[in-house]
Amino acid sequence: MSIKIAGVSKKYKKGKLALDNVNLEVGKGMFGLLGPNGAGKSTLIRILASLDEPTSGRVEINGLDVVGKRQEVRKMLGYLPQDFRFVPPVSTWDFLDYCLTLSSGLKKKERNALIEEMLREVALYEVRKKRADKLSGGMKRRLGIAQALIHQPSIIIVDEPTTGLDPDERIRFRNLITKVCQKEVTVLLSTHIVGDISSTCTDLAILNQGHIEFQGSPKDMTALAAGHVWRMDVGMEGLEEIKHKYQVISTMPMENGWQVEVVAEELDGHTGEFIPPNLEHAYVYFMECRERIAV
Amino acid sequence: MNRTLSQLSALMRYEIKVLTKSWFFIIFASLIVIIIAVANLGLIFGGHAYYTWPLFATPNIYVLYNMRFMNILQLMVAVFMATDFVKRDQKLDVTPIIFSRPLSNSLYVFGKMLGVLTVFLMLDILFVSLLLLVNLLHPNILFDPSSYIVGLFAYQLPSLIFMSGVAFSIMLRLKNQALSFIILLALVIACSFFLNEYLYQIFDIGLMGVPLYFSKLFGEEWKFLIPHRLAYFLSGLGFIFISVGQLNRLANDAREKVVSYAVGLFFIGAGVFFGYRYWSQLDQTETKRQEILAQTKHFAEYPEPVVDACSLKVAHEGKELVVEASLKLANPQDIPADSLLFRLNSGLEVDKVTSGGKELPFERKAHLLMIDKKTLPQTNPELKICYRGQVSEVDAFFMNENWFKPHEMGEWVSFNVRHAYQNEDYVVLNPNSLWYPQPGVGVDPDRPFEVKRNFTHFDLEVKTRPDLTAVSQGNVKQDSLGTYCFADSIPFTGISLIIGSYEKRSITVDSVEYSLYSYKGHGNFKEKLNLITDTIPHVIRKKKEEYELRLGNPYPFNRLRLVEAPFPINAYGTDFVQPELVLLSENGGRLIESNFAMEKMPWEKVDETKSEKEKQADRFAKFVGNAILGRSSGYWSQRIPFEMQYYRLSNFLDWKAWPYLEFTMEKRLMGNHMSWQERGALNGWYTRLTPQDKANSLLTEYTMDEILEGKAGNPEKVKNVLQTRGDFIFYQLEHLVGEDSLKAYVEDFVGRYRFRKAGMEEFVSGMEQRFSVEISDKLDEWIHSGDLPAYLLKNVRVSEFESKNRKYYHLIYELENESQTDGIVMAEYRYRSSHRNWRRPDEDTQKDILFIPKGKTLKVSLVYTTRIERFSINTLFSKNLPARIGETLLLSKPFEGERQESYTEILSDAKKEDKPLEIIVDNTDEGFFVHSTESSEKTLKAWWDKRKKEKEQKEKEKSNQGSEEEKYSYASRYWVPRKWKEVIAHSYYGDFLRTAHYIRSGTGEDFVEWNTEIPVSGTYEVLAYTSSPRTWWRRNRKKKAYNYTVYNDDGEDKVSLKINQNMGSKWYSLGEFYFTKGKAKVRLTNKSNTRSVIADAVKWVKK
Repeated sequence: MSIKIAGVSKKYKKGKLALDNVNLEVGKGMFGLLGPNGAGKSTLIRILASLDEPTSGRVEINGLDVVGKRQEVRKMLGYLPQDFRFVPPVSTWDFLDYCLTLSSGLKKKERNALIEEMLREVALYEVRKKRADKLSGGMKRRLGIAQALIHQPSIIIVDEPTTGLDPDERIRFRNLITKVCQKEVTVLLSTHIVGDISSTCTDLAILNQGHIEFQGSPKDMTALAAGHVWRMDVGMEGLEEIKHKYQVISTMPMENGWQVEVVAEELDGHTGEFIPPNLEHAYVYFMECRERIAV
Repeated sequence: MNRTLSQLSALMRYEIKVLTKSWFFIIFASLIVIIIAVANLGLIFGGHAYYTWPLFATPNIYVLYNMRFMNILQLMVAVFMATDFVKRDQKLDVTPIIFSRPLSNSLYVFGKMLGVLTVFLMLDILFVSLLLLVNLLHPNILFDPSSYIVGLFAYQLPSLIFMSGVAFSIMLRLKNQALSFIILLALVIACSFFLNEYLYQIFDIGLMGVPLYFSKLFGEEWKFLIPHRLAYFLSGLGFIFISVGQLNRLANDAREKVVSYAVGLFFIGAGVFFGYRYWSQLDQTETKRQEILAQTKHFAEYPEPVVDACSLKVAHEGKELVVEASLKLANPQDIPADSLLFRLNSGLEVDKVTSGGKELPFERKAHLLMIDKKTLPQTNPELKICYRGQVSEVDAFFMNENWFKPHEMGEWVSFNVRHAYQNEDYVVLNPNSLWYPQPGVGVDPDRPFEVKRNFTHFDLEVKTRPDLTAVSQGNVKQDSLGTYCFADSIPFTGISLIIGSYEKRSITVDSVEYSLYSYKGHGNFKEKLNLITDTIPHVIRKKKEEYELRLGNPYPFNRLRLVEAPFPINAYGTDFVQPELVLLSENGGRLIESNFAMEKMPWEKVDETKSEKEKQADRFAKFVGNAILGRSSGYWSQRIPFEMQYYRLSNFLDWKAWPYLEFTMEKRLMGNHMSWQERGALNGWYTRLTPQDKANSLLTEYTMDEILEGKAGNPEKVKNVLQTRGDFIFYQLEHLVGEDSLKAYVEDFVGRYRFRKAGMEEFVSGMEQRFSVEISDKLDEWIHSGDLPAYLLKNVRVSEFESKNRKYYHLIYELENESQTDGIVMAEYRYRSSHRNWRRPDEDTQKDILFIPKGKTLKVSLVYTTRIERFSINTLFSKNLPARIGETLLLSKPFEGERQESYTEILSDAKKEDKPLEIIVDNTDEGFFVHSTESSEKTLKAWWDKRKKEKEQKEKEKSNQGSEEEKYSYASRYWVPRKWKEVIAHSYYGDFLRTAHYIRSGTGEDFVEWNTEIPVSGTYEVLAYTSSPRTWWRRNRKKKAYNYTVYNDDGEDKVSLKINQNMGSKWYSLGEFYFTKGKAKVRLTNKSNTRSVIADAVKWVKK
């Protein structure tokens, strides 16, 4: 179970370089691909999902070249795109059946068993006869994950899965993904929401402006930010200055002012207490101060 | 493989589910079903059998008629569906997840495609079930299962595949549904309505022009249909493969794209190949036709042998005919040529030609057979020609340059006209197919009005399969071997050969044998006429007597054979009437009277007091009287020119120099009816010039001799002139000896010269003897004179008076012959009658021939008891345009000082009265000015009209009818032009040429002006000449008016002139105005609340 990306670049027709010599290795388990909007995540995901070709470089999935062995690769793939709102006017069941048939050569009986199991798992069994385009946003997303998993792929690529979901649905989704990861699969989760990764991934990479800027475990990432996160109290007037000087992560109103958490290389004439960084702090620290961090 | 199939089926099922939930599909499918259901149910249960008979009589017409309708609707929907699928792919978020699955691009596109097709198949099944239901429920529609198969697979499927493929491909290229939809729709419309006329209908994707209907006796015409449909099917497939290549998805295998394009191009290439095959088949025919035409023209002057007798031994072996023809020649050695020239169908191969056991050298040039006569024996030369093969159809229609155009019955029914047919099960060959050797080249294509006819004694032996029956002319016997032998003492102009699975029914009435040959299984009339077997001879006798009373001669043949033949055979010309034989259309489909199940025509009342037997007899009488001897009253019906039996097929006036008398002769015998164009012009629905108008306007430009030399244009024009002049000559003869006497003489003459040629000398000398008149010189003058008479109709008035308690009408008019040549005209008075028969409009019409010496005026007074509805004078042969003149008769006060009796008198030359100073400006004068705005072509209709006109013009040029546009036409009630147009009618102002300008009413931007110079200052009355508008409104109470502006010394005066239906044609005063010497004008704009505005003439009269 592995994805190997070696020297992949993607240049669009209009000359925009979306990916620039990306190298990445992803093993079994859940892998987070983190990056701001426009970093090239979706381009990379589309290349991995065999929807697009790299301009140069090579992508191997389970040792197979994505370009040369596209059909075999596609057999192993489960893919949930970023947008999954406009779905066709067929029933939930029929939709899954359609997806399953296109990916597998299973007989109807076998398919039915798989579909039923999957629908129960994503808690859509009750709405199996309902038209997919009439489902709520969260249900659609679950249907999306169901279609990505239904044919039991070994590589699952999920693009920004929790955008727009309410907290309940988000938690439900995370649990679902975690459950999948218990099997022998690789899940590549692309997101700009750090929380999705911190709760599930064992490994992650940060993609920014077409480059991989970090690869390691969430722990490694957090460790980078150790000693660079402070909590401080500021008066009513001081907040603007703090905001101007540092990357503020959180601001809480207090009786005489504010309690703020900031990420910075050094404090400049302010005092604060160190707090242990979490992944979100680390991400912010990383993005802010990456020039000084040699990955 | 299983996996692929299940994937394909999943894609298909999914597409079906999605499509059937699309509102567009649901609405359109329901609309299609509703439209077709309503149309059919209306047709079947609401429509009278009168209208639907042609559809029902031929089993596949009903089905294919519907299919054609369905096809065009379906194409529109298919275009939408196909583009919709691509658009959905662009819009839906699920597309990437489908695209990331391991199926191939071709599987994806084909799966979707099959989905689209299945949805249409479902729709078709619904549609077909509907048809089947109606078909099976309705007692009169024949059931023909094969037409369903042909309809679905040969018509619907290829069009659907083609359109979907093109739609896929265009949509994938343009990625914009609205644009693609418009382009595709435009393509369907362009192909169906415009391009379908080119290259023998190869572009006809909507099946609007491709012949759809096939005779059940021939079967489908696969030879043309298969390549045409394959062209669409294969190129459609090609486009689908191209779409696979165009699909915006990375293929599993990079080679798939290349392969798809390659396969796509291959299929498109194959489609083009079959399209080419289709075209080239037809084009080869055209090439061959040209060759035959060229040879005919080349040998047109070549001396012809005369065949006295022709004996034919025919063996029908499979598809081939093996024939031994023995010809007895009259005087071959007298022919001033080295070869004997015959024509024989070019598809028949001549094995050898012998005479007295010696083989003669021969040569074939297209359809011509040239036999070297050097070694021909001097005495009793008999030629034996052995030939075999299958006739080529083109020989039968080589004079028809529009042969490839399908024959249309109504808007939707079209089929290929067939002129000859020969295969193992069915043969129908008329003499024009040249299935046996005929002397010379026949009619010269450049002078088709020069009729040639030979009478030959035929005997014929036909060997065919025992289950088939042979039909031809002459007394028939079958020998012990089953060979049919035909022979007669009468010589025929030609004989036909028909072989098919026929049943024969015969009856002999007054020594004439009447037989009906109907196709086996088609005799459903038996039970409908079961009660009148004993009455049939009586009905036949009665109808025949009535008919012959009009013709004045008995039926010349010993038998009459009515033979059922496929309708494509008897659709063209008059070939379906042959000596003693008439080919009736298949199942009687084009003769409503042969539907003996039909109780009555829609306009008739049924006399319930009549017994069933009487009703049956009535129906049979109608069949004989209307369908065979008269004019069938049916929808899309066909007239059988039965009179040909009495003249054209049994007589020949060989008046070489004056062939037109031949046409006139037949017309005379039939009673001289008004042509349909003339009737149409009188009634307002025919707006082009009548043949007579055309002839007269041509004669004002060319002399008779020039016309005959072909200087005036094509033969059709010449024929018009010849007919008009022929009429004129006959009227002169009538005037000379009296109408009845001439009729008696002509009848007698025709009877005397049955089955042999008669020359002009015989006709003239016979007449001179009988009537003791000198006509040779006169005839010469009538024929050669270049002067045309010109007539002015004046002082037409009618009044009523009472005498001895009875009401009388009195009509007086004067007719002046202003020319330097004697004139003859025919006055026609149509009485108002309660009983209206529009099919025989001449029944209520009285006709008088009037002779008007040159420069004289004839006064006619007519007293009668029934009011005259229409009065017109046919000037026959004159400078008048229109050639038929007449005026609306409005009752005036009783005349004073007029004798109340009918008489005609030549008036002494009238003194010229001193008229006050008046200036008239007509619309043909210089002072008349027309202003049309250019807005006229903005509407689609105007554009369409323009296009149509241009096309007609082109066709005319092509057919060498002269390139000049017809300058004049009659005004139309229905389609009034948006530009001022010059039209003719006798009601307009003028002397011989009577025209006006007219236009559709509008905003007033278009106008005309009458300009003049006022010579003397003073008060003038200004008058406008105008006539009742030709409109369809009758009781519209709204006041209508034209708006004139008179420019005078006080400025402009707007004058509104009230218009109504009964105003007649005359001068209407616009008022009195003062004018100083100099320019003056009157303007009339198109601003009016009438439908059209007519601008004619204006005059200024000095007070």
